Amino acid sequence: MRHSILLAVVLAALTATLCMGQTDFTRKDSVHFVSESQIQFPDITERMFLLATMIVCMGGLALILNAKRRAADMRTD
Amino acid sequence: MPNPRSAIRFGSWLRERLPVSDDVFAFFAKKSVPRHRHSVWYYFGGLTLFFLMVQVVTGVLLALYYKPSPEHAHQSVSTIINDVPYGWLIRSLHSWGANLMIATLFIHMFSAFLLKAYRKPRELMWLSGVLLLFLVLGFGFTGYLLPWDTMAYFATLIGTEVPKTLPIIGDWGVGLLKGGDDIGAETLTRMYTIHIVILPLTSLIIVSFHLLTNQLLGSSMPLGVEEKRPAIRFFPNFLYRDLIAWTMGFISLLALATLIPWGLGERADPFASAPLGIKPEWYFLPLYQTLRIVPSTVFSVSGEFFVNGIVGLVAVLWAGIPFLDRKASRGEKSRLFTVLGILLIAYLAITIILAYAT
Repeated sequence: MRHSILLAVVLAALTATLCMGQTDFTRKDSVHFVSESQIQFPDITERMFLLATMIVCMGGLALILNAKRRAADMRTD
Repeated sequence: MPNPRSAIRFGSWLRERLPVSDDVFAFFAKKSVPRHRHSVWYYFGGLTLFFLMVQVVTGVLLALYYKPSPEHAHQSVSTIINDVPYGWLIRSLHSWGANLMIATLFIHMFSAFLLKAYRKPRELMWLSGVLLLFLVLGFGFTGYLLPWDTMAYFATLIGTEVPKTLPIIGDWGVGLLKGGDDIGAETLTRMYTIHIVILPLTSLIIVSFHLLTNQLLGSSMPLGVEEKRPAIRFFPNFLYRDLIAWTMGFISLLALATLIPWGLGERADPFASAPLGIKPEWYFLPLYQTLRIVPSTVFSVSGEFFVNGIVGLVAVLWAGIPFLDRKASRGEKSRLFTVLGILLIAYLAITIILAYAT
């Protein structure tokens, strides 16, 4: 049950990230950083939000893996 | 969640069509990992493999848009960053991933060295690891030119001058790499071919061999360390631990790629003068700094020739460590090699710091 909830959280976070990718992250008018060669990155808020979302995804995955590891260790011991 | 009965049915269906012998599963299942106070170092080999996989995936995505010609290379990288959805992130993951892969490889190699994991019967595992180090450095060198910006162009121009002083193969090797006297279209095509075909294929073979030797011989137990608890099975117990380490590694990579996205300089102009303070990537800084501190003539030979000779000699000795350290092969402590390893780490660290500071 706990794994299913975590998996749902991971999938929800992943979906949210992908949805954002289709909107904010390809938007040119939200770009604030321009380098000497005119390359443009999304502004820091958007990048931070992307990072936070990915941390939730990866953190959730790590929790699932850790639960699996503990179960495997208990079976072995 | 998959129904266990469906999973069993699918398993039976698959085994009917892929009748793999049980011996194969037994071969993979027999591997175990020792547990002791230095066990943490076992994770770095897996992390290096993980970052290599990230490089392959992001590299394939970049190759969909990259155009390897002096006219289009810079523009195509700019397009990847500006116009391709998530292109900036993929490119940053690739560039930062390369750095993390080399960093974890160094940690893996030096931990293997200090724990004497190279000793008998793991000599071939060590040799394949050293070969992988050179291949990974080759990836770094060939990939650096691809964006075709000012820094990449001049760093490659200077970098290809260094091996020229090597006897017999120097001029020939550099000519083969550059495809002419100058850094131009031929150089870019060759670097790209080496970067995406030759090095990946060679790495695939060597990595497979390295993993096979690890599967056959298992992880090395350090000398003089007691195994207080029984070794854990690799499948699935250690694999879960490895995967958790990979997620942590990926979070670190994502943090770097999103918070400090990899930039792109001005398009390279071969007729312009080299910018001041040009430096290679951090993993080539020890060589760069050594070339700076060595006088132009040493023992009546050129400084570059002298440094190339020393670096070549150190590389050969480094590869031959398992055959030189006879004490470790006999299961005895070999303090001399430990001290040499620590001195080498200190030298690399100091030259990197000096190169950045001066």
